[in-house]
Amino acid sequence: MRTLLAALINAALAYVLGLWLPYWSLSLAALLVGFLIHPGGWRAFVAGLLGAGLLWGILAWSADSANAHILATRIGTLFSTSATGMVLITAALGGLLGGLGVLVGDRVRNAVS
Amino acid sequence: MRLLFTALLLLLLVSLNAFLGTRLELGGAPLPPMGRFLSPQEGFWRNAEPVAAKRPAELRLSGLAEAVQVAWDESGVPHLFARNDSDLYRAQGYVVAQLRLWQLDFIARAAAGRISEVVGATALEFDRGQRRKGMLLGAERSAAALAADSIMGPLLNAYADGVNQYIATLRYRDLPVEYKLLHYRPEEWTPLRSALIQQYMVDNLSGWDRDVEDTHARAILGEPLFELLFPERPPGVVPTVPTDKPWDFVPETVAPPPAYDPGAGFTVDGQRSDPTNGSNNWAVHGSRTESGSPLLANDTHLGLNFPPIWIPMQLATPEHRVFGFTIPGACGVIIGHNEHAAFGVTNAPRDTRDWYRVTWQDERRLAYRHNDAWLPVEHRVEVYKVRGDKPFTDSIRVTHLGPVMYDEHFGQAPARAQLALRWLGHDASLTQKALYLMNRVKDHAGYVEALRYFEAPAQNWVFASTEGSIAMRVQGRFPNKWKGQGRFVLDAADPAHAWQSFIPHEHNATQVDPERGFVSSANQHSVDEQYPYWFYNGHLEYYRNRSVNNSLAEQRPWTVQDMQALQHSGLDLRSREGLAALLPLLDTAALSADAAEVYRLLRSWDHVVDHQREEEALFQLWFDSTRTALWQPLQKHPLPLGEPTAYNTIRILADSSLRHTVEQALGVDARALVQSTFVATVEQRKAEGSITWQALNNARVMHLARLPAFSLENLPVNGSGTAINAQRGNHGPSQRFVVELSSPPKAWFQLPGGLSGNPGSPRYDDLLAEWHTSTYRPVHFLSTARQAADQGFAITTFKP
Repeated sequence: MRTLLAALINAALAYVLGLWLPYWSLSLAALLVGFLIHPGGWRAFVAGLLGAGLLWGILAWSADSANAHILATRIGTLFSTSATGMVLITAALGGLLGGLGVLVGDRVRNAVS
Repeated sequence: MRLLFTALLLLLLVSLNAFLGTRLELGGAPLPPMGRFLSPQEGFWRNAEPVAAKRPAELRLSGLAEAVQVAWDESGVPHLFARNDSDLYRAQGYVVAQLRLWQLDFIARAAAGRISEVVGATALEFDRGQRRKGMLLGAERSAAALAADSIMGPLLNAYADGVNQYIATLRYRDLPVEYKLLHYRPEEWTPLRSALIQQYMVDNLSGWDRDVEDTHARAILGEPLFELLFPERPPGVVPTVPTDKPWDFVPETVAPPPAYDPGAGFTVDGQRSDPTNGSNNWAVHGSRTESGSPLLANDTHLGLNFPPIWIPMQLATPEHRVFGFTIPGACGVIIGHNEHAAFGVTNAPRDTRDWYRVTWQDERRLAYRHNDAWLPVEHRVEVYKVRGDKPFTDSIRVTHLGPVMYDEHFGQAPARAQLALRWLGHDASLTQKALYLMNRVKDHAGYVEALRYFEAPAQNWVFASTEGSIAMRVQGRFPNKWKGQGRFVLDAADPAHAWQSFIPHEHNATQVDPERGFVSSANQHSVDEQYPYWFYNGHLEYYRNRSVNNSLAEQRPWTVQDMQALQHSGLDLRSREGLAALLPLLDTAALSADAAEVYRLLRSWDHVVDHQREEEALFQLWFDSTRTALWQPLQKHPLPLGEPTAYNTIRILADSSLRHTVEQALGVDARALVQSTFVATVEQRKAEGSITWQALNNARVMHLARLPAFSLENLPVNGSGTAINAQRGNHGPSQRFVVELSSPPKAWFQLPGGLSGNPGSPRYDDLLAEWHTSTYRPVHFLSTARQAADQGFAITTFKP
């Protein structure tokens, strides 16, 4: 439950920070969530993976759908993949950054408390 | 231990983020910072324009005196309604930047020789070539002249401000996707950058000559053979403006100096433009059209790129309204029509690029002979920022004639160090002012007056008015040359070799309402030998122009649809005349069954290109290999000699006495090589199964950054380089335009691409599919923004 909550808060915070800040705000949001909610151990990683991965995945997917896959298909050609491939790569990178971020936040909390 | 692990994880997170924000190079290929690039909130996903996106109803544009309204029609064409000129061009700058910012910025960079700032050292040779041939030199002079002009100075500033206000609205996330891929930012727009784009077109359309090849060829082949292979004016040429009545002016004279031998050993300029950049245009008099109104047509042949070089748009103030095609960076439109008249251009080839042999005082090359004195060279120091490298400094010697493009520091051949370049592109040009006046033209007199300022690149300006007048004018600032001046390398020391004066504007060749009932041009010889000034260019058009003239000579009630069909004509006169010369040379008794089949195919062909069929491909393969084999003795020479034109090759092959002369002089057997190249073509066809024209031609539209993912290839086009539908490879009709001069005029257009420069927009390539059929879009020539709203077009209001 706490993991799911952390994931949701992570997604929401990352989205809001992302409106103004560059891509690294995804890690910043995850760090904060890890530190404040403190899901603990592997749950921290999963929370970040889910929250940030879904956030980037859903944002990319909706941009791609609204665009009828025009751009992602072209960019996909550059990276030898499809439009869906680009959505998945984006989600995976988001998930990785989020998971690592929450995990580090969680560890830092452990270290200071 | 746990603390250390945590610290390491933190370090990993920070480094990962830093890594994802860094531009990389993988095996020489640049990779954008992947974190930034993939982030859906700021990366490329932000450029995925929703298919159902709506235009904003309101935008702020400070500096406007009054609101400007922009209507967007169903093709995505903007129609701008302003209350005064300054507001109009401020809004035009903004709208062009909205549609094409990356292209605008990139072309200006290319013209200025600043591509290495973006892509690194790989572009340094290109950049140096640009500045060494004087691109920046010419653009700076034009920018200064335009800034001093009371009309254009303020308007170019307004345009630049419009572009800059758009750039100012952009955060990283809003940038065109090319900036994200190549990872750099747009640069501030200035009137100098508008002049650079004008300079880019001057280079595109006049940046070619073959003075060095001709100098070598004349010296090695001797005068008679040289004139046979490279005639100034081969038989059968019909000029753009024929002499149909005596020229009503007294020409200014220029005295030829004694003959001069420049010697040999020069190397050819490796950075010349494509000499086949050209176009078609024509106008038919109302007495010969079904509606009784004149018809005007124009299609311009340039590199086919994404985004297209042209942007169709309408521009209106209470004083004028004009629809037409602009290029990014230019105020107003270049080809178009207003309420009174229509106008268009084709390139008017002329020799406005000459090379002068410099005699240096000593090896330091600091002074050179001029008349009886030694003149010091000036040094123009150019600094190139190079991405991922330290800046590069270049010093260019500049003579009174122009820059020494190649020297001991640049180019493959030290021999070239002796040549200075004199190019019309080095001179200030008020071309922008001509466009301003032409957009507001009311009648033929106004057209002639507007063109007074049109100096470079020289164009054949076609004109037709609602009053019924049609005209053609070969317009540019042309040096008045003595016969032969600049055809070969000249002497920098002799003042008589310099350009001494220019042909007065009033003496430029022009034709108004001719008896034949039409005017036309297609980059052929501009004039005939009765024109009182010497005309020369090393690359002229021999086929499209005759196809146009042959068609327009037909007596019939011409319609708009006929004009459109003619623009798409795939009749290839080169193939017709080439086959007429080549086929009789074959020994048909010796042909295999496969060869006999190809022979029959080519003999029964009507010479109309069909992309699904083989004839054009077979002819071109055969003819090109014949040409290569025939002129092989010229290529074997250590000095570059050039190659005779296709037209002259066919003329020689078709005439047995000319053929014998060439066979003896070059030691070739024309019949034998025609036979062997034919057999080789048949063998190639057999090996490949079949060779369609579509496959051989590979008609394609390439993204300016040469990204295949943003390009389209293998298009089904029924055209060829020498058909009126002049499409070959990555080159062809970059727009098509037909106007009926009713009151008000009606017009139709095609564009090989779309209005948007964004590869993530549905308007990136939506007009391309129509471009290779004969479906034209009607032009909406709107009176007011209200009329646009009534038709359901989206309106954006720019508020001050």
